This record gives sequence, structure tokens and C-alpha cells, in this order.
Amino acid sequence: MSEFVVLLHEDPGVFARLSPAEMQQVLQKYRAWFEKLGATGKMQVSKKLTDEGGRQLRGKRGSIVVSDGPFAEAKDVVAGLFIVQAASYDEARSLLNDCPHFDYDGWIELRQIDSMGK
Amino acid sequence: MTDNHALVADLFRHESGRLIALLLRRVGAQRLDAVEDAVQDALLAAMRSWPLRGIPANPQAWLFTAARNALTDRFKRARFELPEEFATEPSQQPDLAFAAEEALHDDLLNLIVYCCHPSLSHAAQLALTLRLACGLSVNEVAGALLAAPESIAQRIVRAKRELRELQVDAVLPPVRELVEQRLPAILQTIYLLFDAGYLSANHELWLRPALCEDALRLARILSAHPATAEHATHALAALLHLSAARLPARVGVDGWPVPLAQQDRSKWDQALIAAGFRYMDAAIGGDVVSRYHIEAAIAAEHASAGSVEATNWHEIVRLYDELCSLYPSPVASLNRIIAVRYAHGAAAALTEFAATDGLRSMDDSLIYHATLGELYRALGEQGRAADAFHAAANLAASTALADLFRGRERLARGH
Repeated sequence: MSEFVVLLHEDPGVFARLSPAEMQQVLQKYRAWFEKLGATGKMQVSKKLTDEGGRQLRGKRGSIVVSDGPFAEAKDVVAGLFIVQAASYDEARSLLNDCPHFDYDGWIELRQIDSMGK
Repeated sequence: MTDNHALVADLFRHESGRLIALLLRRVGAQRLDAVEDAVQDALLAAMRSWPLRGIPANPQAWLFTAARNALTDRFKRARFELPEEFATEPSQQPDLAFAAEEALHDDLLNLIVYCCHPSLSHAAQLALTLRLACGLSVNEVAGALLAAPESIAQRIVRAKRELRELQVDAVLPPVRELVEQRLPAILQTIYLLFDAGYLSANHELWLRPALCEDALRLARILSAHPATAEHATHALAALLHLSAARLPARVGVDGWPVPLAQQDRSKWDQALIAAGFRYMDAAIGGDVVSRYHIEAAIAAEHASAGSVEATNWHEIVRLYDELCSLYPSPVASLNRIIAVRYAHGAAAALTEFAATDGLRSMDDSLIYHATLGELYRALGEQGRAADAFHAAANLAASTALADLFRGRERLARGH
């Protein structure tokens, strides 16, 4: 059984104009989906990343430049992540097929955790 | 995830109003835009965070802290001066004022007083209340009021600008001014809020009962609040509870509204009826008979009747006579005609219909033609009935209602 990191990418602008009632509907949709996934026992860790976009560190050692993350302007940020257990990319993908993220212009990056030589 | 907490229905919408009220008191109404944005930020943060992290043990406190932090950020960026209690590090604990339900009711009342400021038209008061106190978006307000979103957006922007220019703050005026000059508009807004949920048929299903419940909630708060617990307030609360009791019987299986005469009265909510009668008791004793008193008395007659036949229609006609003489309106006149029909027959009702001044002004409304159609039908004048139902169908705000009257038109035409 392998582990896969699931990165939830989104355009922060998509949700900005929702009404409170609509936001609660979105929340409940995601929540129901996560509960369903949690019940399979295949989800391990889920983390929400803060919304300010973090910091980006670039340059050469000794002259590293720190800049703010891209949240405000970006059309694509990683909002959250979780880890699922699956035998293959195909199985991991099948766990995510009905994720509400796809209903709101989000996309999902799936990365297998390298377990070579463990 | 350790997430065993269920989300209360309407939590976000109610918290929106409550947080706007709470924060507005702390920073003043001149900062309304920043407050609205901060509350939106907090709700968005919850929406994006709770599915992954689980619902917090105290969602309200979480939202309050998030909104407060968002507001602090916005103030710092705009270089607004922060109130003292915001200058300290934002705490993870909800502050004490937050926990007190009475303080919340004070804040909500302040917000409603603000929204119902006398410099605004009734239409603007209602739109602003729906937006700020009930947590509806502009599109949802437009849906509730059957108006175009652009005109509602404009109405709300103008109302806010006007209050800003007048430097109105969200604080209670002195009790005497509150009761004598401000309360009538507040009560009317709550009445219209209930109506928007009760009558409109063309918005999303969740919105209708939600608006009625909000109106009940606000009426209860006003009835319990020492500054606003006037006889007219109790009378309004009575009217709304007695009317809301009929809601479960009012929507048919196909979503069509069921007329009073055909409602399954076993579906009426007895707890709401009992509450309505308690409010009626509290409403007795003032020296002014408000329109809510009379309308509540009419609703009480219906609530205590086991069937249409067992209804005391003569008393209802008498109450409508009183309503029409003290608080004349075309809608009251039309409802009086319907009562006359049951008390004295369709012929008498049709005669009064023709003789009632002011009804003509309603000939662009559905209820006018629907009533006329019912009277003609009862008198066997099927051709005229069909024409009236046809006119009603053309004025229907929803396809469901239009279908309902087209069906009646077909029946009257005999095919």
C-alpha cells in the first residue's frame, strides 16, 4: 500500500462573492465528502494551509530573498492537503473522483510519496 | 479529524448578522464596509478550513475571533485607528461580552434600529435589514423582494451612503424616541420580512421558511427586550406566530400554495398557535389598537376554528371593517371581500367588490383577479371566472402559480 499526497489547488477568487448561506452549503458538501473518505480508513492526515500565501525563499545561500506568497493576486494556490492510502495512482484517483473541489473550479495535484528502500 | 459537531442550519446566515452587529457596536457604523468585509472573510475562512480541520467545538466563538482578526488586519492596512480592545493581541478566547445572550440582543436591536432609520424609505429599510441583519447577499435580497438584483444593489448602496453622510450610528436612541418614532418602522420591517417569506413563491425553497423564521426570531427579541416590549410589538409577535403556524399546511406536495379553505388543519403547528395566544394576552391593555392587534385577532379566529365552516366569519368581517377604517389599504379591503364571501355569500361579496373604492388600484395584482375569479365561479359565471383566472395567471410571479391559475381557467372553460 502506497501513500499519496493530495494537494488542493484553488482560485481564491471563486468563493469571494458567495453569500453566507451559499458558503454553508459549500462547507457542508466538502464536509460530507471528507466524512465519507474518512470512513474508508484511507485518509490519514488533513491540513489546511493559512490563507496569506506563506513565504517563498529564493536566491543563493548567503543572499536568500524572502517574498510573500502569491495568495492575493494568484489564480492558483494550494489551500489544503491530505494524505490517502492507495495501491496505485488509479486507486488514489478513484478516491477523489467525486471531490466537490471539482465543482468549484479547483484542481487536485496527486503525488506519490516515495517509499523506496524503506 | 475529530469532527463530531453538527452544523446548525442557517448558522452562517445568522452569524453574519450577529457578527456585523457585534463588530459595528465596537468600531462604529462609519466603518460598516470594513465590518461587512471582515465578516465575509471570517465565514470564507471557516468554509475553507472546517472541512479539513474539523468543526470547532464552539463555531460561534471561532467565527467571532476570525472576524475580529480580519477586522484588525483591515484597520491596520487602511490605517484606521483601532478601538482599544482591538489594539491588544487578538485572543483565542471569545471575549466575555460575546457570551451574553442579552448583549447579543442589544447588538442586534441596535443594528435593526440602524437599518430602519427614518431617513430611509420603507423599501430601503427592508432591503438593508435583509442584507445586514438576516445575512442575505444582494441577489438573495432581490429574490426575497422579487426585484432586480441591480436595483437592490443600488438601493442598498444608496441607503448606506445616506446613513454614512448623516453620521448615523448603530446605537439605540432614547427610549421615548425609540418607541414613538422608530418602533413603527421596525415593526413594519419585520412584518414585511415575514411577508417576503410567506407570500413570495419564486425564490429558492430554503429562503421562504428562513425569512419567516427570522421574522419570528426578531419579533421574539423585540417582545422580550425592555426597550421595545410595547403592546404593538406583542401584537406583531402574536400575528406572526399565528400565521407561521399555518405554514406546514400552506405548501402542497407539488410546491403550490394551498388556500386557507383547503388546508389540512391537523398540520397547523399547535406550539406556534399557543405562543401566538400568549403574545395576544401580552398585547392587551394599551390605549392604541395597532393594525397588528386587529390582524392578530383575525389570525386567532382562524387558528381556533376547526374548519372553514366552523369559522366565525361574521366576527372576521367585523375585524376587517375595523382594520379598513383605522388602517385602510387595498389589501385589507380585498381580504375583507373574501371574508364577506364566506359570511354573506358570493353575490354580496361581488356587490361590495364593485362598490369598494380603492380596489381598482389593485387590478395589476394577482390576488385581485384571483378573488374576482373565485367570486364569479361561485356564482356560476364561468366565462368571467375564466377571464379573471387568465389575468391572474399572467400576473403570477412563478411558473407554479401561473400553472395553478391556468388550471382553474381550464376548469372554468369546461375543458
